[in-house]
Amino acid sequence: MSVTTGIFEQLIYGIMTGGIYAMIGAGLSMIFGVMRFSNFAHGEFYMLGAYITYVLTIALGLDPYIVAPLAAICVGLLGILINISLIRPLYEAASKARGTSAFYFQDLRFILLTVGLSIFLVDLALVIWKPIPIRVPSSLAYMNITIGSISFSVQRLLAFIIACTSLTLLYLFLKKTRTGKAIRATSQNPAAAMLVGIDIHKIYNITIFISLAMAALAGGILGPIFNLHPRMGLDVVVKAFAVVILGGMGNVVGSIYAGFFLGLAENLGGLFIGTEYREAIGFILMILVLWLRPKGLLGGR
Amino acid sequence: MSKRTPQTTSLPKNFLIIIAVVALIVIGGVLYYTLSGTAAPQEKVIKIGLIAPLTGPLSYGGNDMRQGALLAVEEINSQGGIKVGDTYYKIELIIEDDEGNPSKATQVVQKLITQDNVFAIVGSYSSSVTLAVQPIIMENKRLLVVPVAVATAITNAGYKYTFRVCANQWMQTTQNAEWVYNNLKPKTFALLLENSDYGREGGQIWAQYMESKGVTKVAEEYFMLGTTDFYSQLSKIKVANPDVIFVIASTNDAANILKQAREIGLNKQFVMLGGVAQDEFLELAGEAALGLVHVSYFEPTTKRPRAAEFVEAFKEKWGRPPAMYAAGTYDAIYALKYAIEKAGKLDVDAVAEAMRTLDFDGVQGRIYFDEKGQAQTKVLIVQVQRVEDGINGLGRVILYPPEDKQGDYIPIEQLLSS
Amino acid sequence: MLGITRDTLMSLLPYYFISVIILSLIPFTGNEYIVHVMILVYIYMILASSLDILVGYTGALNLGHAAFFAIGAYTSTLLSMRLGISPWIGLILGGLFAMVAGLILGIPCLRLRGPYLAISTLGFGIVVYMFLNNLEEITRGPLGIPGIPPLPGLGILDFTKKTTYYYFAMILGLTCLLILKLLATSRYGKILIAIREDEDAAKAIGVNIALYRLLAFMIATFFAGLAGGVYAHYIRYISPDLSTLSESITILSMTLVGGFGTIVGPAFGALLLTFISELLRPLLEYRFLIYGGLIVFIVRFMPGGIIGTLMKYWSTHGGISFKRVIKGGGTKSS
Repeated sequence: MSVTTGIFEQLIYGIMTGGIYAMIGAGLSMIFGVMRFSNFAHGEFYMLGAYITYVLTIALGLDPYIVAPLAAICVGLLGILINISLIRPLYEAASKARGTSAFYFQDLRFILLTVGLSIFLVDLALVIWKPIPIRVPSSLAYMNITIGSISFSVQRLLAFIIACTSLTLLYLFLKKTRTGKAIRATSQNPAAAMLVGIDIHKIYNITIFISLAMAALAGGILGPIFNLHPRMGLDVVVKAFAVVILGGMGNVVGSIYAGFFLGLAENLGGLFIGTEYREAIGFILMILVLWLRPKGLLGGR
Repeated sequence: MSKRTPQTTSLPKNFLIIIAVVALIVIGGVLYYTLSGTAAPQEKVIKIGLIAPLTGPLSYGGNDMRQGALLAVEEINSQGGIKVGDTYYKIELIIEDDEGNPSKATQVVQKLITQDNVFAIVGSYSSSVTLAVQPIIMENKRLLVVPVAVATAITNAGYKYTFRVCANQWMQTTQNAEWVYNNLKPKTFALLLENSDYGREGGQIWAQYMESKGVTKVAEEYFMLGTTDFYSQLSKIKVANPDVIFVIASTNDAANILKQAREIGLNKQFVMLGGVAQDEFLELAGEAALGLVHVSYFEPTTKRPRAAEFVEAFKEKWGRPPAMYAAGTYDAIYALKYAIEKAGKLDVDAVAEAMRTLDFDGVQGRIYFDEKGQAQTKVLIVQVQRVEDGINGLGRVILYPPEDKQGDYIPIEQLLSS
Repeated sequence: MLGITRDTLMSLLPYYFISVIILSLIPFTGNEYIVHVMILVYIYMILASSLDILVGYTGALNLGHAAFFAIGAYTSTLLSMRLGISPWIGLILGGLFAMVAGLILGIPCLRLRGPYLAISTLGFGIVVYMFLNNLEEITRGPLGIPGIPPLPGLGILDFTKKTTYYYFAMILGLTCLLILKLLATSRYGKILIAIREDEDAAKAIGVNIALYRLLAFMIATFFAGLAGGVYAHYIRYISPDLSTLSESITILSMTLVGGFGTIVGPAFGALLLTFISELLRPLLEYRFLIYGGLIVFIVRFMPGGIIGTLMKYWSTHGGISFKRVIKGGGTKSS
């Protein structure tokens, strides 16, 4: 009985964690697919989302789960600011370059830019909020739900619901709305998209907004569960990349599946191989895929 | 590099200019330093170096150490200083930040030894830092008095000039196990450990004691550093249904573990070591900390005379109560004072001998050393209960030893239902 | 064969000797702290410039360079402490071991490009870190290895003295720089640039891309490993933290700030960034704000790095040719 209960529990926990991974990974994948660069600072926007949620919770006296979407919007807007001031000029420089080196050097520059940004943002958080972990007060803390033999906190359930909702909204947005289609068109062929009259730079702004807002939202809803510290983004970014690589870089739907897959793999894997290796599983999968099937399990760019 | 830089076969001419600039700077520096060199006038001082993490994630403890040391030095100097034979020497305390980083620590220690020529070094907080600097300090024949770092290896190595005034890892773990066995009388136990040297070793020591007394181990789970989600481990432990759960984890991880244990309905007696004896931990864990039994090296609320005296003086000087780091460092400085006075001369070997035979009333309790330089102190066992003026209504209540006792143990079921 | 002409060597040597002379003055300031910082600068110089071969010349982004630094450091340390091998030999073996590791990383990475390559190298760095952290019987894990023996003395030279070590590090650092620059300006270097600029064209003229990339990996990692040994016997304490992403990023930033594709640029970057991080030590918390901000600034406004941008500026606006000055030709714009 205990073995099957064990599996069932890990299954549920895995799906719940997976939803969050999917949220963060989808955004990262979108940036790669549409804007063609890897955002090494993605984890820091997750972190900022968590901290801004905390600040707003204290300032407005509302529950973090109400305030989190607001924080997400703030971070999204910050993303647009960064896009206009830092990223767009790099694009312009890139378009003037020639040859293969041009592409790779430009790629290198984006990676370095985001790395520098990451260092800057982590230190900013350290300076503002200090290295000591912070607990986000929430009226939902310590409330549990028990279904049969499985127990988990209300906060986790809520986080899961919010994650699924935003993923569904994202999916519908990309598939059904005009802007969503424009985004997909841009990701397939920017030149052609421009010819058809799509304003590429507006699309880029929207993409950044959505992507970073989702990461920030994830941070906001996880903050009350795990406590905040300035380096929290760094732990998450490796998993985000794992998800993106598993699902195929640029393949947003792929990374959604990959997110859930990773959540399940971690929890079930932990059950069978030993829980101390849980954190390494995502990482190992990522390396394996990179070397054996770089395009991802589901195909990507 | 959006344009291809023309590749030439000789260095670009501008490099010459850069070299010229660097040359000017270097020559300027040389002139500046040679012209401004001065030597400080000699006084009758004993230089003692203090290394502590003043910046970085451990800075709370590091600054506590600094304040404890400064209080001790001020007290001693205001009474004339340390009496060596017939002369009084003042203490000159040289404080260096090790950032909690062993590489940085080796560099500041080298500076303390070669540039400042300290007689002794007090420090540090982190075990890896202390272990890293120990060989250099021993090689250079300076005294090392450790106030906070707990790794057993530091004194186990048996260095002649190393002393530690606080309990080491082995001591706190076995004293904890002893108390748990004698007072909680568990039949079964589970381990939840950090997957590190520290975690595994500590778990082994605790488990060994328990098993030698006939208590059965029903679960043993590990987690990697950086884990935030403990549901897998906790749910496995829940199924095993132990009487007590021994956990080795850092502050934030411990807070998460306790919170998540509540969430999945694992409401058994948790037991931990001294790392969580901080107000920070109570902040982070909130309600989930209620009932936790753990080790503490020092509580400012204790009524034991020597300790209460120290707490008063500390509060007056710094405006806040001291934590265990200040207590340890304060004891370390005093240990040096007593040893030097007992030896009667500023000779490292004589002072080391004298320290080995010291027996005094320290802030942490009676302090006397074994042949490896390890103080045989007792640690405190505390439980988190509801108190007035607590943090979120909770505070640490000392259960043991009797000289410090403030209250009785309350079983978990009772606490949770109240 | 490599196409290193006497001319090239002759044009570089004056810079080499001038640097040696000027930098030799530093210990005369009597300030041990500066001497210590400069030793670190030389070590980072080797790291940053060797990375340039990979990133700047071959166009292969390596986010795990520190791993090879760590491998070299641990190799030399363990060989000298466990097997009693002289640290002098240990230094070389450290470099060779790191080189083999470079080969191990390089082969699977041959077909990877851009972000995939970046993440693979990142992954390698993390894997090395995990190994060093977890193989505790050998490496003592996170506690690190203290008490590393210093370089054994040679005659009257005592390497436990900072000043002696300074001169050792200086000569080694500048010589490595010279070697790397010669390699970079040789025919080999030119081929690397050709591969970087247009891989297909290079293939068309018969260049074995795989071989050249692999060689680049091996060269870069050898020097990184060598630097590791030099570090180990100086600081005399090492830990797995040498292989973290943070360390790799630090090295990469030096290369970036100095300027890719110049070899000397990264050396300058190492000098600049090491001093900035030391000068800013009192402002420890703000240090990385400035670091990160600097990286963002350079990428955005000075993509060629400081030296690279200067080079571009001067090559289009003329300058002094050292050779010509010596020959009495006065200044002449290029």
